[in-house]
Amino acid sequence: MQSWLALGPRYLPFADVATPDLPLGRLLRLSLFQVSVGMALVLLVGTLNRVMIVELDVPASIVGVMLALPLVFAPFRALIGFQSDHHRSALGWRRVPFIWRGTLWQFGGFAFMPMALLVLAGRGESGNLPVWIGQASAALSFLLVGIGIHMTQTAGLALATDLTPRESHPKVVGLMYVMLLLGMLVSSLAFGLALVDFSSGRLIQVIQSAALLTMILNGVAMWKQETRDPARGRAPPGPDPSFRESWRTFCAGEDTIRRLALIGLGTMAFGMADVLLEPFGGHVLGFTVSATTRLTALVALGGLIGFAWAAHRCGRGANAYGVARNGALIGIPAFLFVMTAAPVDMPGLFLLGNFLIGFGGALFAHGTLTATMNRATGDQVGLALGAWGAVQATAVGLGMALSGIIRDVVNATASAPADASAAENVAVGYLTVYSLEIALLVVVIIVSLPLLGRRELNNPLR
Amino acid sequence: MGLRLSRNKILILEGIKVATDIDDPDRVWPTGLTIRESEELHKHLIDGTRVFFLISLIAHSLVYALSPWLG
Repeated sequence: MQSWLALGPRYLPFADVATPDLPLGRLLRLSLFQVSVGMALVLLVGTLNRVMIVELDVPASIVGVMLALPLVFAPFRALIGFQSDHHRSALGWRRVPFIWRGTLWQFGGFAFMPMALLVLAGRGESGNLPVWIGQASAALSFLLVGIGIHMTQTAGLALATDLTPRESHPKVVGLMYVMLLLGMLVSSLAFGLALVDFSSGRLIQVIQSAALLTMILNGVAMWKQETRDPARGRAPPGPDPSFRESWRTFCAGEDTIRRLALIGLGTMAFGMADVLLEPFGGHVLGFTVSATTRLTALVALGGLIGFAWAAHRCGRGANAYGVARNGALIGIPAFLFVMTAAPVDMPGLFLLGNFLIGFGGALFAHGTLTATMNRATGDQVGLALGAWGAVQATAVGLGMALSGIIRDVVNATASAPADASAAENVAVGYLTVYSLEIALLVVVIIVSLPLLGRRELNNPLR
Repeated sequence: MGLRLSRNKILILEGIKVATDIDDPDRVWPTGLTIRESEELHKHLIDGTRVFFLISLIAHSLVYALSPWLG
């Protein structure tokens, strides 16, 4: 640990975040909750998505419904954040109880998920049971994991905002995103390796290990982090504002709706590409499976560099919305590169486009979250970050669902000219989605214009 | 090691700073918690146990559905 800390300031891009009130070690420890969130996301969207369809022969429509279930709860993030803002505790905690409860749900969902999936697939003796048992229990496990992710991440980000002064927010956001990305990368590799020889027993081992890891990572992350304030808990329970009142106060803030719309539109624009890049490379450009996997790594690399760059820019006092706008500006040529790669037959252009999509998406995500943290004031930190998470998670889910649906519908209805090759025919759906994303990014840039000239008000509480 | 030690000291200092009402007659030793504080911790413990029990109940019935024992 000592050598790691000595090494940090010189080689880690986020080292100078260590302010007197929160040393780097503690911040790194806190960001472990993002690793567990990343692991859960990869397991749901990546690994289980494939395992259920390929190995367990569950119908794709049921798999789609199961994976969409956790997103149903995304809007409740605002409510979770609000509740943590006004949580009364004799111990003087606000965020820790919510991180703990979220951890418990996530753990619980993962703990019985493998058995639920096996029953869903009718393995073992469960073939003679009514179908709804498997469906209900699998749905319940996905719901529990979803609620857990939403709770942990909302309360965790609010805690990070509470603990750090305003000037280090850009670096905290950078660190949080990098840890999320690292968690996703490492766990997708690990899950892939662990499930090479697939068997029911192995599936149970893998998912239950994920459950245990969730508990350990989140436990270490929140251990002794939140400063206790017993005086706050002892105060007689005054009339707390209702969620409706709080929400109205929050929305009455300058341009709040515009800011949330910006987050939603931009996240959707970048998110729609996520699920299409790999099949686009395979279908249209004829990449092999291993080559398309490297595409994902390329996007992640762009993301890492983007987060470091955004943290650097915002840390130097750049307007966070300016950074987000630049992300959108980079996104437009990036999608154009991807679209033109096939007609001009230059795979290099496609790779460059992918890298830039990762880079631009990171700038956008970093800028908007930093701005959200900076604007959050005393009693509304949880609510503000909850609203951010609600919009962001919903937009990601909608983007993923829409991009697949649009591609399939367009491909099914497009009447290609008789002499078009099969690849050109398939490309129509993809190109429609990419054009839509460019249109969304243009809207994002227009929406962001009024936010750029405005100087961010200095938060009086910091 | 020096870093760690000094950080621990700060933590303890923080603890003292927070617990200025150390003479509070409600405080029970050796934990140094008041009744309300310890009841809250206890509530979390009980809640956690209930959730754990429920989860294990579901997990056991699903495992029984997969391969019944004592059949």
